Amino acid sequence: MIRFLAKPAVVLALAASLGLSACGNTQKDVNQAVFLAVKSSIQQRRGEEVNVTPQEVVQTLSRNPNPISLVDLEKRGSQALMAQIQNNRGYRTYATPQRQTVTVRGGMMTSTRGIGGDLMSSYVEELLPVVQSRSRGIAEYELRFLNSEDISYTLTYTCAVHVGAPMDVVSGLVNETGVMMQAICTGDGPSFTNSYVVAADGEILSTRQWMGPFNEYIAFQQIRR
Amino acid sequence: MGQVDRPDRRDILRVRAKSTAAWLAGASLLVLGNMAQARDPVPNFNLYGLTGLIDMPTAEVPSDATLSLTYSSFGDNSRGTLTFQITPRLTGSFRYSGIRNFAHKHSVDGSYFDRSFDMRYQLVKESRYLPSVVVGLQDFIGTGLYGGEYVVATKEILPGLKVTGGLGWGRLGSRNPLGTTGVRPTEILGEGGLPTYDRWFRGDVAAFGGLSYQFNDRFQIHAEYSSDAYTLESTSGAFTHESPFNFGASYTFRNGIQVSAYHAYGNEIGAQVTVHTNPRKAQIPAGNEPAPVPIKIRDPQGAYDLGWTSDATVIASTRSRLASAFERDGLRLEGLDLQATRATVRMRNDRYGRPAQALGRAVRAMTRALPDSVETFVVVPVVNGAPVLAIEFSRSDLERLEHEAAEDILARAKISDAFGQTPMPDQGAFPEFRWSLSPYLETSFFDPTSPVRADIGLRLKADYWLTRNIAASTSITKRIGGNLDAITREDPTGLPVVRTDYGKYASAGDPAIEYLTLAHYGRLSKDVYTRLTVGYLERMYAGVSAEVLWKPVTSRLALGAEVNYVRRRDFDQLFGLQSNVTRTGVIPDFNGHVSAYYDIGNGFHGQLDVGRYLAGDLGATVTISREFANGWKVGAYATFTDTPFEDFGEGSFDKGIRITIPLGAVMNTPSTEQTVFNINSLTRDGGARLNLDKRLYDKVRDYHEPEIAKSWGRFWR
Repeated sequence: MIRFLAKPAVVLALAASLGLSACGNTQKDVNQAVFLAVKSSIQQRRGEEVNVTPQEVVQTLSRNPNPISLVDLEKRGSQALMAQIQNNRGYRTYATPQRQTVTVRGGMMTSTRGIGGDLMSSYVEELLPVVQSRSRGIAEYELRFLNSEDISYTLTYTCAVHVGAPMDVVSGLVNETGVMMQAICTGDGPSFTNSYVVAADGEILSTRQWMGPFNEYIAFQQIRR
Repeated sequence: MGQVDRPDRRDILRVRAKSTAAWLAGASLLVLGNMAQARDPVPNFNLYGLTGLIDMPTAEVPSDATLSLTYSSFGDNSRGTLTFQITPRLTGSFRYSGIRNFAHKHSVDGSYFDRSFDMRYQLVKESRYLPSVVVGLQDFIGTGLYGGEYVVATKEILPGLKVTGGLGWGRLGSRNPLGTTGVRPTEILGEGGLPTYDRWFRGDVAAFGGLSYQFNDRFQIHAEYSSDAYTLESTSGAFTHESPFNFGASYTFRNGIQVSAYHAYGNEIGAQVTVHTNPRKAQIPAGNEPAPVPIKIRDPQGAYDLGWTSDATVIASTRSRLASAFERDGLRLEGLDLQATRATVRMRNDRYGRPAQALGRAVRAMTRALPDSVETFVVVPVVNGAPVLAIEFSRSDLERLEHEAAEDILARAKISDAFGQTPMPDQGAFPEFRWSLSPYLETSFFDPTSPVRADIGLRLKADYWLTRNIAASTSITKRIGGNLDAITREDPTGLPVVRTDYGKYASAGDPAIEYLTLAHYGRLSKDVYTRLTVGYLERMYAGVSAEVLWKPVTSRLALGAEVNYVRRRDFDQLFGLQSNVTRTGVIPDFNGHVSAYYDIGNGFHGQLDVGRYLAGDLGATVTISREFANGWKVGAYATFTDTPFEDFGEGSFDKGIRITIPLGAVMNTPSTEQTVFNINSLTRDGGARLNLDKRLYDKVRDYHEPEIAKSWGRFWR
């Protein structure tokens, strides 16, 4: 499971004083909130990084016949295995058992859900073809978020795409040679550099993208296409 | 001048402990909002809980919507201040202060407590050559103990080094005046509580100023020259003014909490702590709740398969699959009208504070449960038994726009009134019993004999929905401990006693039935909502309450009317009633209001209620709120009635501040629960209304277009 940023345990004490630790059949959510706050604060105190072991990879691959990938939230040091659960016209959604999802198109991450600071959607109609064609180019790129007030906002970038060296991608059941592509993007928010390893058929096998001010860089690697 | 009361040492400590407790109660709510917050630097706050140096203001301005709570103490002075950045340039503050060893006719045990309001406005923003310039009114409503006005300028002249200079009137012009601008009257207008406009910028004017140096984003030091002579504290209190020079240091923790220590006026030491939150930054963006299920894409041929329409088992299993999909996401499917190409769901949302998210979750579940031929989805949310919205989507649009910007699907959705297009509830959906048992904390502030009182206890709430729109509801409390029952205050009043007996209710009501009602919620026609409540309406009154609300689904304007027939309840708050005849007059049988509600735009909302209040006084209440898309609200209200100020008593008229905190936005997980903090003047009998918690407007409006559009980005969350 991808670890949430924790809130101090003091939430619990305050919640209790505000009348939240209730029982009944109408306030389950609030109880759940208190529970989550405690749970995540415990995880925070332990300071554990959640790493996926090779055994877990083997187990997941043998149990689940669907495409599988590994996601790495660099800022939190959290990794998780995800299985594809839906394909909506090329937008493929992968999920953890705890209902956190990443959606990719052609292997490029376009949105997340349930990890906090989610990337709500993106405009990749220009950037994706340039990266997939493994050629140089300039592309507009948009990332859409919710702010803390629950209002949508868009960060617009211009990305210069560069072609790098060929690379072997060996992970799980993926064993292919791709080309490293880099997109250097400047625009409304902080500048960033995304990296993609693109197979001959245009599929992005492995990607490391800037996913917004809250999560910063997230890596996503296919281990069974 | 009254005689000087010298309370013994024990009393002083007791008073101090209580005002600290008041501050702590408020601080806990801000700390809650303070979690997980993106930090941006907030300027230094002073002893008055304003941006300032030590005792003097600066022209610095916190970022828009910053809500700050300060508790400070130096010498005999303690101040608790709530400050809100109302707009990027306008700041408002409310302060409750205590001065120990102070001789005043309202002093209790030698301590004088007072409320004050401040306003500040930034005239000029700091630029390369110009300083920031702020004009401020201090304690501009009320008795004017802290009354003063100022114009102040602040400029950062070297990195980290800020220079402040200003001119002050009133208190801030009391030491070494440079000159004078007219005559400053000293009489108090009315019974206090009125704007002291006759004093503003009049009388002696003096200069003040200072320096601050910021070593890094945590630590800064200050030095100032104060133009406040502390005249009243010196003559009526134990203050000795030895020097106009004050010195201080502030440390800001990583979570934004500021602590400061001071050496003030030559012989006093002081300390302060300030907690900030900001409704626009107080939660993890997009929350932590689990991801929604993806939209399920149909088989291209599926749209033509209508074989299921005559198969009752398929229809029944579809219904139960949809109900369980809703349940997984915290929604309740109350009814389903399933046709070959169109499905309408009747839905209740008890989980998502932002209705757009509930709608999004509902249509995602529908794509997974409904037969492929169903192309049109209509979702009808029901609140308190009344359908409040019908929103129609084309299933093809949902499939096509799932990964696009959220406003794309809003532009394709059809929003209409649910009247006449709401499916009846499924067989077996009612009767339904809902209940909860939770601890409660009830507080009473600003009683001079004990500025803070509180009770804790358990509250059992239950609703028994007999049919889709008739509910029997109750709330029963059992006190565990506290001191609310010790209220003995009996205020002079020129009105029938409608609220000032609260002490008797607090001490006799254990256990208490807060309410026990039978209510009917209805839709009279398109745009019109009704409520009829009968029974024990609130802690002090039983009777009948009828309300009608006109609110078109896409309108910013709503109009309402409410009429109540009331009978006074027994103090023990069980089943007995008592006469409406009180020691100071007869409570009329009927009261009521007509109301207008308007979404002004730019995050502001206005409400005007005109009518007859509980005590029979006629008048109007004006409420202006700053509202945030995530559900936070910070509002102020004032009630003006035909009650003469001297009959109303201390405060002259009813006014207050109301802060609504949506728990979802501070817990980072969805919730429809919210906590409302009311900070008002002393409870008086003028301008009082029934306390009904199920008035129609807020419930209905949440689902109407102007509201759901504000946080529409939550639709795909």
